[in-house]
Amino acid sequence: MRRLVASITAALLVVTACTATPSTTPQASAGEKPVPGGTLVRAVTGDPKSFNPILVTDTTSYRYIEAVYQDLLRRDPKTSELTGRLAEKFELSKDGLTLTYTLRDGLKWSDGTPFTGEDYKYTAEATMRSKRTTRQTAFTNVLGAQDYKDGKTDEIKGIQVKDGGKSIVITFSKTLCTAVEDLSGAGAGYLLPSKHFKQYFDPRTTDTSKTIDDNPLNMAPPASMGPWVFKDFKPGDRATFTKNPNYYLGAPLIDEFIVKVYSDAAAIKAALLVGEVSFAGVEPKDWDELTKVESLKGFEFADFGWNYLAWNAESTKAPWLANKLVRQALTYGVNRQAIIDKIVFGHGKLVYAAQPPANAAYKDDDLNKYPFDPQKAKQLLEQAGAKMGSDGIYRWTDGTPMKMRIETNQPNTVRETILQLAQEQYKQIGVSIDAQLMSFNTLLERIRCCGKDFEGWISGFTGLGPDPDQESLWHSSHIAPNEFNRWRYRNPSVDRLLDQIHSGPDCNEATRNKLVHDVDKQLNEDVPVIWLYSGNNLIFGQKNIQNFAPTSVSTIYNIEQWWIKK
Amino acid sequence: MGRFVLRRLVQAVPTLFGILLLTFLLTRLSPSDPVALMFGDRFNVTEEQRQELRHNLGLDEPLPVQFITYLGKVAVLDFGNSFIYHRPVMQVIAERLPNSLQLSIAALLVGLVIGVPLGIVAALTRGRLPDHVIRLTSVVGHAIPTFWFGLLFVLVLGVQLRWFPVGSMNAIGRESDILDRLWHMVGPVLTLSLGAISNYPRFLRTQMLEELSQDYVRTAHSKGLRGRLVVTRHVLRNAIIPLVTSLGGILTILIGGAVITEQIFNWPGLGRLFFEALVNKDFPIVQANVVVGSALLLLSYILRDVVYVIVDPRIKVKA
Amino acid sequence: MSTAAAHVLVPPAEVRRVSASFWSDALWRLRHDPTTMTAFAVLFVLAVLAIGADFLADNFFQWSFSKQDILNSYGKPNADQPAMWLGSDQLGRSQIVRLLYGARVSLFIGVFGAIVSLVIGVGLGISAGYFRGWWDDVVVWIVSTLNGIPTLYLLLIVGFLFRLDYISLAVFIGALGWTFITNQARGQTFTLRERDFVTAARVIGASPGRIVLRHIFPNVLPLLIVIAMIDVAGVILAESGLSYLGFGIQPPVPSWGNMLNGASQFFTRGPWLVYPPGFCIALTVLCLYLIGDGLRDALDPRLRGAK
Repeated sequence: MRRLVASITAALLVVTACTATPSTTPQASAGEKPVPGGTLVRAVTGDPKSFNPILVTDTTSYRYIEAVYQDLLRRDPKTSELTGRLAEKFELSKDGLTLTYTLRDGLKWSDGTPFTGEDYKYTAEATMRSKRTTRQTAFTNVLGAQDYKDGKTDEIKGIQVKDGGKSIVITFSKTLCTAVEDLSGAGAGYLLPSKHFKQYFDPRTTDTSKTIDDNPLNMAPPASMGPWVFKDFKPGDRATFTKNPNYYLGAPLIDEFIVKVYSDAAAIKAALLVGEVSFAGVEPKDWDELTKVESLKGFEFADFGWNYLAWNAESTKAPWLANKLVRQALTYGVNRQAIIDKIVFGHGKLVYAAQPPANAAYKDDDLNKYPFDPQKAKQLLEQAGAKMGSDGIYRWTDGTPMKMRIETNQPNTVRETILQLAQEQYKQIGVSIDAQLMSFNTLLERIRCCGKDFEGWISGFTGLGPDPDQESLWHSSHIAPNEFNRWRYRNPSVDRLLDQIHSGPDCNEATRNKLVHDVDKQLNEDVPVIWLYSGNNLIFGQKNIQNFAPTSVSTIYNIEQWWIKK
Repeated sequence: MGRFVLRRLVQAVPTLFGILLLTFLLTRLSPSDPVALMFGDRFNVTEEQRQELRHNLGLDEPLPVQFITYLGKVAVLDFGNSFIYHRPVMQVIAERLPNSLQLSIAALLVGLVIGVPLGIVAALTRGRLPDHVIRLTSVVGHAIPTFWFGLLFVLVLGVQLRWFPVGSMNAIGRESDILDRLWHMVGPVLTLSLGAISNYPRFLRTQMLEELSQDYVRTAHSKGLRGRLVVTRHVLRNAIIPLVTSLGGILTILIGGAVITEQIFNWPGLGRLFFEALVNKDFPIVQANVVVGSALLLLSYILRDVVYVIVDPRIKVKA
Repeated sequence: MSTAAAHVLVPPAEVRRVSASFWSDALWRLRHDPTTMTAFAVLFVLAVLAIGADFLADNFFQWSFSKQDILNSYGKPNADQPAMWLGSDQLGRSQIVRLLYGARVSLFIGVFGAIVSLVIGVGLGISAGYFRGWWDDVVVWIVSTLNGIPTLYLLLIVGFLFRLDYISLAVFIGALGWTFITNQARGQTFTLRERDFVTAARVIGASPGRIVLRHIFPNVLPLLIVIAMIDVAGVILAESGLSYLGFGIQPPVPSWGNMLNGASQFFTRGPWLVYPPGFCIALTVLCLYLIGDGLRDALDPRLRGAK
């Protein structure tokens, strides 16, 4: 699906589509005749910010959006190979500068309108003109995208729709190794029905003040390419969907799909227990209890992401964070194994650098593991020039006590607990932490690049794969407002490596994976962030849902075949 | 009577004005920049856009001018758009209001239906076992923090024993089933009315004992009226009058307490909306929620006064 | 929840002139009221524990409130080690030590907050009742405005906008909870100022300050003492609710309210974390209410029969 780094988990218990091997194999229900009908309920912890994929980055919103909208390509749920979804095939020219997607025959929106390349182009253009999106990075190398954004043209010249809407041809100014996958959702990740949205935003204009950002369809999808059709949305309660008879894989067997809001993980767990919820992601602490329940079955996958404790290398209050030795000391100073054992109860893996363990490019044998070692941490601090003060807190070279804030979002029990743990363990190595909790949105606002008034924060990334390109996280060119190098990591040699991984010219997998590991080695030494752990995705579903077989790539890839056994 | 109601409504105007002033000042004098709050989680905001919004919102005007503009908007119930839902705030509020009213009205009724008889029983059995039991439970009930009561209800009766649903308004697929709704209301209504249930008996008992020691009761007894008749005819009526006054306090609890109760029971009402909006810095919703909550409170005070006049024959409405 | 909860409790008190023997009578009555004396004793023990929290943590439990033992998180209560009498939380911290410090926070905020609201409430109430006129109108307007807004809404907004420590939190809760006191003090003053002894004082040329201090305040005092107890309870309840929602006292400083903040998440692994903090709040508030009741009975002999 969308490879873009842009999705950040708002709540840990939400599950994203990712890779690796399923721990449980689904029961075969062959030979039984499916019984259509019934209602599916998926549990989430919040309302969607919007149903318009251009405007959101949080995984909760995607739980709603993926019911109705689709993109051109997908990862195979079992092999995680890139393969067609709405596109039948895709072709990248030898020089890597022309990309052609060819659509399947007979694609129709739920309202009967044909699905064409115009819908694709519309979504791309709406994304480029949106003032509220973070999703324009996919178009960096697309010809004419910047001109369109600036209002110099009234269309993106580099995106052409041909063969009566059946093929989409994209031209690039420069090779982009990840172009095929990055652009399969027209930047937004999911394609919008242009016919309906045009009445609010017509892209054929040079007036850049017109955007798709505020219109009623953003909260009420007018037509659907996905398995479900939007019916209604009750804020704070639920969104209801009915089956899409025009779904390209066939109409779902189940009649109705509900995404329901619960106040927290405890409520979701209780609702799973009583059978009110059909399937949901759960928290690690509940795994043991739920596996004992007869009516439920559980799935555990490695995640394409990790949770981190990041440092602002340009913070005014904590100049020591720019020092590599200090960051190494802070990495030695927090017991990450204890986090895995006691906070996520073994449902995670240690991570030592930027590639998540689930990724094919992952290699850790020559990486420093930074085992928990307070003595070593103190040594490193002193080596960096810090002096112990009489109050047990180190003084930095300029004489200021080493006190700083670490911020994270609430409600998120895991992160709050990690924060309190780090606070206490850093006290032991002479670094004083002021713990601050806030909502996820506030946290995002606080850590926006390129402020200097924040020091450390705990958050997580998900959806970092299967492609290993993490250019937007570590390249110094992404130290810019609303971009992701919020930790201000600058390393020219890493920049060069990242450029090659991102833009080739050699996009060969083996070559790239080698470069990726070189990046990892440098990051492992520089520790711009502390990689805390990569948490597993835990999904539970009712046993009576047939063909429910989530994989690390997707939970609902075959939802049209699910049926409820009485 | 109509005149009386009208007079009370007019009297409420300065109060309403004070409330609006306070909500206005709270958002303006907060340490956070209102423009930053308005943009919420929006990215890609340039300094020019901030200035533009500042101007559009009239934030570059002097405070009194801003306040008058604000009053004008409130008068036509225009609180702007929600940052999170990107819809008019009043729409969002209107969707949630009925859910909250269901809870608070039910809680008020439950409080009266359980609380008043207990108070009467306690007074009539003064010094004996029922009196002691009622007084003990009501003082204990009053001391229990409502959020803890709700939490235990959900965790013990819901999650652990599975006797009651753990939250939300209806089971899936039974949205129009009234019995199911009532079943889901047990927890939140009990939590909300805990204060009332434990307050009324104590209050009523004291009032009744006071009335029972009045001369007119002794006179009635000496006239040979039977005990029960005296109680129902005179004592109860007079004892209930102060109870009506105390309704104000209860209403404050009902509307304020809804924040916690709805949060615990996952009830999509105004209280939860308020909490979520606050956490998400959706300030238009927060502001509107306070105004609507306060307006409800004022209305119920007026309603209370009207009831008071009806119940208390000593008060003659100046007409 | 809100301090308003407490208000309903107090029936309108009779206005009398307070004499010297009044206080010794009241004390005598209190001493012979076992319920009130028990409540006093419990509260006294709690206060001593709260004040001695540092000493107890260092010497008896040998476990500071922030000391973690993550490898032994969710420790079941056991008798082997004093610090683990009530088990440990998600970070392996001692629950019993945290409860002690929580007592300190709750009691401090309760008392301090009540003092704030008493000072504001009595000051405004007596002055409004005594001087009447436009000042009275202003006070009544402020009171009705504050009463018109659900208190919890205001507390949450303030708690969200400003990051409060326990002193500012106490001040805020107190500053929002004085309206009932004002109403009572104002009403009493209204009646008192028409009494003969006040009129007499005025006739012989006593200054308003002297009249208020010497003649009115002492007579309002009994009622205020009763209200104060209930007010402390109300502030404690408000603080715990606010901290429970995450807007009050911030971890790692423990308060009974914030100890319950994650409790529902931890319920399956540590059910012992859900009961004690709530019990402590309820017990403290109960004692305060009982003392309030006892004091009212002692100070208002007319109601004794109603006991």
